[in-house]
Amino acid sequence: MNYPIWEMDLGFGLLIAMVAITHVFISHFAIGGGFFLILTEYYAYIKKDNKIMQYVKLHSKFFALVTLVFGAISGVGIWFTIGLINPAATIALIHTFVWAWAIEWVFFLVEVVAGVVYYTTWNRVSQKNHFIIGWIYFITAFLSLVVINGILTFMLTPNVWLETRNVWEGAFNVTFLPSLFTRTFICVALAGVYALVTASFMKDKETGRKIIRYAGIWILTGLAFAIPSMVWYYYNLPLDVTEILSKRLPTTWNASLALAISGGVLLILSLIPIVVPKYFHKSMAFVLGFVAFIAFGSFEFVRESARKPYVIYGYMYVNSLRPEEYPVIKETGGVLQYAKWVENKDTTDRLAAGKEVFRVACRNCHSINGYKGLKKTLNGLNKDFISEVIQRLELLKGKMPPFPGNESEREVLAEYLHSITEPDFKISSGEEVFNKRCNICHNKTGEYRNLNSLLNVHDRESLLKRIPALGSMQKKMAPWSGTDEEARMLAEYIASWYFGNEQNQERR
Amino acid sequence: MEPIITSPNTLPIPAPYWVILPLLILTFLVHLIFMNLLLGGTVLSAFNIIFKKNDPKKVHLSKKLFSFTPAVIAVAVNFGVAPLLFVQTLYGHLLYSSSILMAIFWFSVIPLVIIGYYGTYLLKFKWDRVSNQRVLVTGVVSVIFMVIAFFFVNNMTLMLRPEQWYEHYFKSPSTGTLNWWDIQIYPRYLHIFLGALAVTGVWTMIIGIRGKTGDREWSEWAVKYGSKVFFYTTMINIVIGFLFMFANPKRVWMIFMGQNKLATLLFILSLVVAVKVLTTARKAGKDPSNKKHVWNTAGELLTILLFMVIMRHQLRDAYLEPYFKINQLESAIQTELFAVFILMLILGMISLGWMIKVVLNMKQAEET
Ligand code: HEC
Ligand code: HEC
Repeated sequence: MNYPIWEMDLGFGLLIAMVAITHVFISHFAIGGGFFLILTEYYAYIKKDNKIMQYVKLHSKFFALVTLVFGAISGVGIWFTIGLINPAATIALIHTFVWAWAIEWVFFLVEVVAGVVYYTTWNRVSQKNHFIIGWIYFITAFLSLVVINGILTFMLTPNVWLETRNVWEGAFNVTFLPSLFTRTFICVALAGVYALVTASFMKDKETGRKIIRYAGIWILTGLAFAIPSMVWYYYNLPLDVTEILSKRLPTTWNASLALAISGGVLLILSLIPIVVPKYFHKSMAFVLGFVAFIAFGSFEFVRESARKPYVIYGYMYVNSLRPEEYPVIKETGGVLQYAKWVENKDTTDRLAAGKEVFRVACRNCHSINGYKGLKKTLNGLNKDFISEVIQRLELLKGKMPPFPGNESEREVLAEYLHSITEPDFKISSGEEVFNKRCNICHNKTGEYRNLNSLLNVHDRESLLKRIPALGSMQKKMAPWSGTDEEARMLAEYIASWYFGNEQNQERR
Repeated sequence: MEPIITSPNTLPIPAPYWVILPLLILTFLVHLIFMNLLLGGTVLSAFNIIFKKNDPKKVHLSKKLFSFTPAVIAVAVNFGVAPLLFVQTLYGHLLYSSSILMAIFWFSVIPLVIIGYYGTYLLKFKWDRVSNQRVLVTGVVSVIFMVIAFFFVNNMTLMLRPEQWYEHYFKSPSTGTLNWWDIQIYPRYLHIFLGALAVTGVWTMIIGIRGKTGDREWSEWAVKYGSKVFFYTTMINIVIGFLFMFANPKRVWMIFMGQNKLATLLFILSLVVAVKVLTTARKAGKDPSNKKHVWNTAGELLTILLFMVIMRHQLRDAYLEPYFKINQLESAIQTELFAVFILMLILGMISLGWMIKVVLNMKQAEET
């Protein structure tokens, strides 16, 4: 609340995902690919295979063009982006880790120079020196991953640091190793993926096939180790794996699903270059690359969303408030009073004030029309319901920080959010009522506050009666505020699966 | 409206500010040199390609300059990261605010650099292939880097004006805006722009004396031409420099007029060295076969740049005086990690030195 907030309607989550995923997809290749280059060069050297040497040379140029430009600049892009979307967290990180980053910068410097020197000195320096340059490249590239991994995992599981504020304990936290292993093997797999691209474009088909096969083996090996490391990593995440499986968090669940599927597809696809390299067509290299991109991207998404509602777990929420600021806000008299960058210090101008409350309390995670856009979710809901939901944000499935504002700020926020919805939107089915009014806090079945076990009714009649009474019995729950028609549709809908369930039939 | 200043002390910085500040200044100096080569090199080349395309010497110079540009960008970016880290550590709470105030413009630096970067690779590797589009490509590339420089000047000065932020922000919170209203950015930008051309002039002289013996005529021409570029841009730049200084508020420029002893001293010294370097560059131009003059020019230029970087810092602190002083930053010293940094820096320098030695000793390759 100390910094201005960019009202960007794409959504911060999507913006950082776009920058960060592009970056990691290239920077991990920059590491694995470096390893690939030196090993392959070594292989060509001892086998005296000139054709393969020729390939390594070609690949190194492609490698340099991709990693030195896109990799390096997108890395700077992450700095620019996090400073824009979460300055409070960025300053916390830089104050804590500037030396770690300074170390990483030294590695980056040596890595870039070694990379340029490596690809420009083919046949112009002795073979031994060329190997040494390759190794310097790879070692510094890998070490920079080690440093960054410490900071990335710190954000997710800072555990001991929260009490000691010791930078070493922050960096070498519980997910440090599983994450490092996962990333290292992802690097290996990506080296193979990129190698397929250059290999499948080779004019010399015979050598091309050899390398395609060899690249396939890199992918398979990388995946074979990355998958167990990832499982290890999952079990150290700050949220229960069961919580992910319960589909409590839609984004985490979808990303996990995408990760599992694309990882599986990648595993199967990687068999093609190994088993039948001659059927491996250029275009398939790009398909594989795309699948790998989805898989890796989903992995990063899971990590990002597992951290919700925090940006630095246990220290700061994504809306850049620290938990201990909540009582201070209350004392100050609300978020509008507390926040520095607002025009409305009170709620007199209701809609304008509501918009500002949204900006300071929700913008960091939600947009209106874009990523996690609230307009679509809130269409067809009445103002009272929205207000009740805001009051209970921390109970929603989404893992949100509690609403920091006061009563009247909640009211104007609800009014504002109501005003952005489409005025003549009509809810047309029971399922839709359910999704909008219940599913945000409950699952039908499964683990999360599932209604199959919570609802205790015997017939349709009593189900219909229960709905308007909801909330009067359970304080945590938003009271029913929909129309009678909606209540009827909802009851129909719930009945359609509830009474189909054997257990509940017995109850009847 | 009261200026909005956030406390930077939520978490302490890991060393006293006086450890971080020299690192900021030194790494920025390196960045500045390469950034100048990049900006000045692309602009000068583009100018020659567009307006002097019938002068083969100038076209050849452009080709030469572009053959270095990708490497120059790599170093400029790399040495941009280090001062970016340190400036965030000391001034992050101000810099983030001003970045957000120019949101989309600040963000667009990234895609712009990527496009410009690939553009220079295109010119390096496919110089002959793009001969018909050279005007277009060099034009676009140089405009891109000029725009990026403008955005940087914009942010680096916007962060010094907290009293203007509030109003500025509410003009357009959804895209951000540039601070067109701040008149000092125009002379400041010009000052940097001309400085970049001047540095490129000296770089051209160095390319000239490092050129192969076979191309004697061109080499001598390059030294002369470089000296001319340096001389005229610097002459104008001294005037622009004064304009820039007086475009700042009086309380700021007064530090160079006796209020701050060190600042005043540096100011006088840089004027003296500026006059000196002009004469040295003249000598080098008159006697292009004498390498000593060229290296002297480069050395004196480097001295001025160092003074400029320090004065730039003093200017920043003078602006911020009413709002924030870096000695207000609390620190909790991380000795071991700092020691690791120093150790890595030493090891890194050793391996860099070794690689540079290898490259300097390598066989000359066919001209690409
Ligand atoms: C820490 C980030 C964060 C903040 C801050 C935040 N939310 Fe959320 N919100 C989420 C997540 C995550 C979800 C779950 C949606 C998903 O995962 O796709 C969610 C879901 C919701 C939903 C349910 C609709 C849905 O898509 O499931 C509503 C309504 C909502 N948020 C309103 C708000 C309001 C109003 C504010 C501001 C007072 C707010 N949120 C602040 C992260 C946040
Ligand atoms: C703001 C979140 C929220 C929303 C929206 C919500 N619930 Fe709940 N509900 C809860 C919480 C929290 C509990 C308490 C669960 C517990 O104790 O485990 C609960 C409990 C229940 C219970 C068991 C207690 C009781 O009162 O009978 C039922 C049934 C129920 N909800 C049905 C619904 C239905 C149907 C809807 C949609 C109209 C709905 N809920 C919407 C949060 C919510």
